[in-house]
Amino acid sequence: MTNRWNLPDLGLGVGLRTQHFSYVLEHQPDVDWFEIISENFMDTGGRAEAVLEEVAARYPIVMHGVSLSIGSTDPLDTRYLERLRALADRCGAVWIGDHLCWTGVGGHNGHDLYPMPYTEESLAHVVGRIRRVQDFLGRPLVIENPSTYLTFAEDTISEAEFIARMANDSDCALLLDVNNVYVTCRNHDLNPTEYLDQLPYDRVVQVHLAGHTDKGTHCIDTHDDHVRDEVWSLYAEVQQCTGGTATLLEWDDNIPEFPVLMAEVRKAERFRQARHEGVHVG
Amino acid sequence: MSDSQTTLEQIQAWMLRVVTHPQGAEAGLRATSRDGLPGGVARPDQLVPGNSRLTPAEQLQIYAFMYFARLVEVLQMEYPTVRFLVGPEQFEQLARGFLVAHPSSHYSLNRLSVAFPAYLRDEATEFEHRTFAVALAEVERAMEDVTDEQRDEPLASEALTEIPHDRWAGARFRPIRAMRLLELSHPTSQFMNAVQQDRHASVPSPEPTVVCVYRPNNIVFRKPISALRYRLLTRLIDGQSLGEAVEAIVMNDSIDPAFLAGSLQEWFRDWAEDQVFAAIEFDGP
Repeated sequence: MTNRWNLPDLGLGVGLRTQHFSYVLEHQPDVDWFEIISENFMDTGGRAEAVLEEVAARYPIVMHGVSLSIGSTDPLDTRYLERLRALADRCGAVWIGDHLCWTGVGGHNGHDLYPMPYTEESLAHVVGRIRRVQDFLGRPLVIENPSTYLTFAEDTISEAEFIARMANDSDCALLLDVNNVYVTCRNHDLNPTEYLDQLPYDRVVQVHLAGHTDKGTHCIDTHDDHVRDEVWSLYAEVQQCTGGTATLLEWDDNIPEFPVLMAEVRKAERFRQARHEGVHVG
Repeated sequence: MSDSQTTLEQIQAWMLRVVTHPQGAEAGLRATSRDGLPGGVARPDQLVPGNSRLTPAEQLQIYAFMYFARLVEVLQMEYPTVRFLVGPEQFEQLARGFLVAHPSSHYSLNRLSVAFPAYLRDEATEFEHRTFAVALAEVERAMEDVTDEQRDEPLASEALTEIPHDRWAGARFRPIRAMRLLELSHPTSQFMNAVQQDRHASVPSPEPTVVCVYRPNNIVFRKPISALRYRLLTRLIDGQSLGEAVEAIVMNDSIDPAFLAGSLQEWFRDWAEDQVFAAIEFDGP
């Protein structure tokens, strides 16, 4: 299955992080593409900008933001959107993504990905804002499913159904974070396979993999270690559903040397090959 | 599901207040319960029900913990020398106090701690070595600022040597944007170098000092400069020609013109090497 926009399967990518700038420039590693945290490159004229220019000349770049705050009831930040669009133009971003969340309200930014209540009011609110952002950017927005640590008493829609309806009603694309599916399902006693079954795969243009921390009573999306086996299993399911989608490994804390990162993301290759060959990889 | 009529705006305002409460989510829940919960509900579990393993307060505390942990970490990374000076515990107290007094309103974490030096100087509860901490914080803030400042192509050093003798007085020098001049209460360089190199660092005695923080390429430099160089440089930055700046300094600061004239060659040679100028314009034809 290809996505409805015919956006390319970029292959296997990693996040472009400050710690790896020198390595990437010097070694030009055999990675298919890089993802950048949009905000880390939006307001800088320093080394980050220079490095991005060089990297973008050699690799496809995908922008992934953390501050769009698409679910907030605060007005959309026009200055932020202008900066986002300018950065996308500068680096030739293949697509622009962010999270289904809100990051602050009343002018106070908590710099976290806070959960949405899954209600009809929230759905209408988010759909309207995604449409406005897409009109502004002139391209589909790629929205990622969040890791959540609580639910709201007012929830009337499951998260997976909310995401499916949000994508259909706003005509946005989806970034399916497989680790987030696992974490959220663990935290809220949901079945991850049932969750995955509800998603519109013709809208999934990118997949995230990451490590998490299991605290026993709950899981935290820490991005600080190798991808766990249970997440690889879900990734195998997703590969069958998408028919192959750009896959990125997130590793944002205790960041290892670049070759370690590469070795981890290359583990995804066998699942992608298995999808072509129609075999099960456990 | 509850029967309450809580709007999205109300629930977001409530949750943010709970998870950013300085004493944690439990205290945040108490405070918001006292003031009236959104939608007129009686108990927090009518907003966030929790589950069989975690209470509502425990679930909210996950976000509350991350709020301060993430933002304090940003301050730790941006002010490592201040942290070394005051110690990790005192630094965390100061950082938390700052975050409560100045919650972030910008989309970028790069802007989070812009007001931290002023907070240490004007608002924080008294602490040991406060004045020196402010000086260090000002340098570390300037280093962050020039790191992200727009880059200008620095002037080649030959551009200065090629200026005809009779045109120096009318020359106006445009500095690179990635440069800050700081008037400080203490010398900071030795202490910062020692901390950076993991050596013993002693708190210096107060002494008015000027530091130039600049980034001509991808590396940030910090360099103490003399008061006289500072006075000339600030006038040049303000747009005065070299002749106007020299005349003003001689007039206002009672500087021996011969001494000043003799120093200029050395100063401009240093500034050319440091690549702090981006352009020169000349008065007249």
